[in-house]
Amino acid sequence: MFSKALFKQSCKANGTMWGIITAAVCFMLACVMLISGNGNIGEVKDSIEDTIIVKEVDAQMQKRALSYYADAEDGLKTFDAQFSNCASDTLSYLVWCSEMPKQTDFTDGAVYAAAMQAWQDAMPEMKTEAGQSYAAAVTQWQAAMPAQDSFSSVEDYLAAIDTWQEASPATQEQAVTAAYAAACDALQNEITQNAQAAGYKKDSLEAQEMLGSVMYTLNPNGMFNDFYTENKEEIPADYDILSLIAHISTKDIDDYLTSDERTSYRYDRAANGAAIFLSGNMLKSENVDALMDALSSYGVTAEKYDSFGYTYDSIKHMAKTVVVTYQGRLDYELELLRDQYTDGASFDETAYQNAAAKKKDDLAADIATSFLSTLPASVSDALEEIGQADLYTLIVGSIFYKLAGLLLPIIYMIMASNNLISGQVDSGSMAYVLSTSTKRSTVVFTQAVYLIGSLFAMFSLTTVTGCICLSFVPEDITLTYGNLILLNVGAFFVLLALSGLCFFTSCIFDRSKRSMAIGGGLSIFALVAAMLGLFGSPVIPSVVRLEALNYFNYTTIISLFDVISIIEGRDAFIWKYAILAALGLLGYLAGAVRFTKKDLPL
Amino acid sequence: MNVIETQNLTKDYGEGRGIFDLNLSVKEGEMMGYVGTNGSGKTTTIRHIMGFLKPTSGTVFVTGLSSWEHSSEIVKKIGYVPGEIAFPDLKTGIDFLKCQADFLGLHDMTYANTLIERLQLDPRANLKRMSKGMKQKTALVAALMNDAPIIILDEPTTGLDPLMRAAFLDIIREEHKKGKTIFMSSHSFDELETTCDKVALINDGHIIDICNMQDIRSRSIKEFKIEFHTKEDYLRFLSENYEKTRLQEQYNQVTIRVGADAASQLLGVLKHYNVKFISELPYTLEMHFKNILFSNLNKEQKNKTISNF
Repeated sequence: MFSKALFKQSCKANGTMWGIITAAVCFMLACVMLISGNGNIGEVKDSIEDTIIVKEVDAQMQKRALSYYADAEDGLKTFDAQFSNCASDTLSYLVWCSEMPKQTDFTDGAVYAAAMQAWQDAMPEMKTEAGQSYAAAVTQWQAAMPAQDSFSSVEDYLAAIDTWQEASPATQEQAVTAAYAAACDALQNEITQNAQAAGYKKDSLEAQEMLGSVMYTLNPNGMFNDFYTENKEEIPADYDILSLIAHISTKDIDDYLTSDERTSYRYDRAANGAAIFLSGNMLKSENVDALMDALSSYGVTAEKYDSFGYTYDSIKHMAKTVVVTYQGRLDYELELLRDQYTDGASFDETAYQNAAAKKKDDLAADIATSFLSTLPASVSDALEEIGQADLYTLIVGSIFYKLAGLLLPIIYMIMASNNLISGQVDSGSMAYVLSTSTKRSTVVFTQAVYLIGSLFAMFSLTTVTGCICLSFVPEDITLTYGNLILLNVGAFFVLLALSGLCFFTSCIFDRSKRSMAIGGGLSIFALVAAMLGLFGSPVIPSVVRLEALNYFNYTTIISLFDVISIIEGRDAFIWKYAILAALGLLGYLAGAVRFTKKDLPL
Repeated sequence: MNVIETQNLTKDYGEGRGIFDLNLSVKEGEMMGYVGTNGSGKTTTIRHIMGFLKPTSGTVFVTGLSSWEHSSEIVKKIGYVPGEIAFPDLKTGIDFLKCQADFLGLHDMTYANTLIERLQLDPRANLKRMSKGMKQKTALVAALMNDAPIIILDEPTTGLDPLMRAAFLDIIREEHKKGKTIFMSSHSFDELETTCDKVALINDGHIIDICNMQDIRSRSIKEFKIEFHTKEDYLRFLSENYEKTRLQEQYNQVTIRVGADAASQLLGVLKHYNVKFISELPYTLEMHFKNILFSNLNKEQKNKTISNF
């Protein structure tokens, strides 16, 4: 079955070509693996990736800035309203108290009693809890007025009266403080409720942030001065309640609360507070970690984040910018809306409020939008894909093993398969072999063993080369030794299938030209179709992919070399390998049968 | 015993090409020549003997075995020199001969070395750069080195210079003397004439004639060409009672055919003439075949004319 002499002859005849081609393939592989492994590929990819990430980080921060701002602004509004209500109550009670008729002004006891009655009747109704408790406190204080009878001396009595007077809640300062405290409590409750409504637990980071964004902005009694000094910011002036009190006393507080003056004061305060709060927060590692989690799908690491160089000032500037943009656009949009809902004299308040709320959300989403979502879906997908593309595996797996690495072995295989049978029949040198009692079946078997064996040896050497190169490339590469070996096995099976075809044509044709033209032509076609197909295959990032060329993948058996399934760790490549091997062996078998039965022109 | 025997061997390539109904037999120790024009079917016949081609019908037996079915066994007994010399893709003549020895399982190269010396072959030369003659010699060494009892040569002397050709034929003759059966094709009549025992003529795929060289060499009828100095002598000679095959009056030449035994009698007659020269026209293989071809042609033409009526 096997002729050692013929095998030796074939080795001598094709050995040089085999050696040169194997060396060339190994050299190419080493170049590809080492050069592309040392990070010179994909600078564009990296910059695209960074751009996307920076934009995403910016968007996340802007979103936070806007939500802080919105929370702060809402909170201030609530505070203003609550404070106004409470202060109105307490102040009006105070005024009422000070208007109590004095007995000394009346000569007639009856008149005094009547005036007293009228005064009592005019007691303002306390609408707020704060007002009620304030009133109760004042009443209690009045009731606790020291009685002259219980003092032995006038001096003692006057001293007691002084002490009592000093503890008087019935002063403007006390009234305002009570209102302030009540408003703060109410604000805190409301924020907690909002947070719970939004699905956050009371002590969660999110709820704390919502509360923080308001409280830091309000800075009641300079409670959070530390926060400002820590960030080297000026401590903001106390929140302006004096104008509120002034307007309460002039009874136009309701108008004042919605006036442009007050609104823009709240805007400025909220914008400043939100910006500082955000930039202060973003210097804390736990907040950075939360941001990283939100962006983990883009492969953002802490080092990467640091490399983008976000500083307190840059974040603050960004936050302020976005808030100003937001507010400016919101004002404009709201004005438009107001016009829209104003029909002649009538104004549909509820519809306007609903529309305004919706517009606010839309605007916030629009301004602090992620970079990718601003692009058309296909473009954003493409950019994201490039950012995530594994260029190394693409170059080694698909571009090398499916194209460049196959080309030279295919050329060798075409020439060798042709030399082994049809070349020798065509020239007549086969006569020397066959006239030495070597059976045709022995000849064909030996030549097939040589061809398969030489291809196997070739890919064994590329496997060794590949593994050695892989040990030199940096470790962050996803290509594993196992996958690299499977790639080599796949390339070998492709060559086995194509060599089956070439061996078959070499066996059936007497003319080596014809055998070369048909077997070699079809093999080269398979390779060229695979090349064209690669540009349309899913391994190529969609930006440079030419979908139409994908059809070529259906015309070539090299498509059965399923690199994607190997890289992704699926099993589909196994049965495809089996088909390749079966096709190859079929070619060898059919060729052998034909060769033993045909006429040889020797 | 017939070492090579073809029985109604036919290989039809269509359009009248191929070989048809070939019956040849070569006895052991015989040397058979095989002659024919280019494309007449010599090589096809030899390929059938080697078992490389499958007959359309008929069989070739070599030492009693059908050569298509038992190709690998019969070739053991054959030393073959192909018509077209193309060596395997090896470097030098030595490589090639060693490789052939490997195939043959031959370890003793002494005979090969003597052959190389005899042929003045330099086997170290690069196979690709060898001249046609060197290639031919190398091929002959390869065919003879294992001392096979049958030697088949397909036009072995084409392309050799006359000296080399003589050396070549000497070696073949020697092999023949050792008792080997030799089958050699050629398109040169001379070399077959001097070496072969039997010669077969093939034309357009058909065997025209197989003749024994002994018969030709010892033919009973001879031809002589005679030239006279004077016209008178020439005219006078015409009146003699000889079978005249050709007359060339302008040269005063006459060609006559006489029995071998009548040759001395002819010399007696010529004493009375002023003869410029007399030469015997030897009956060669070439003439023999020409005559046969010519008569066949005439027959065919007659047949054609008959069929035309």
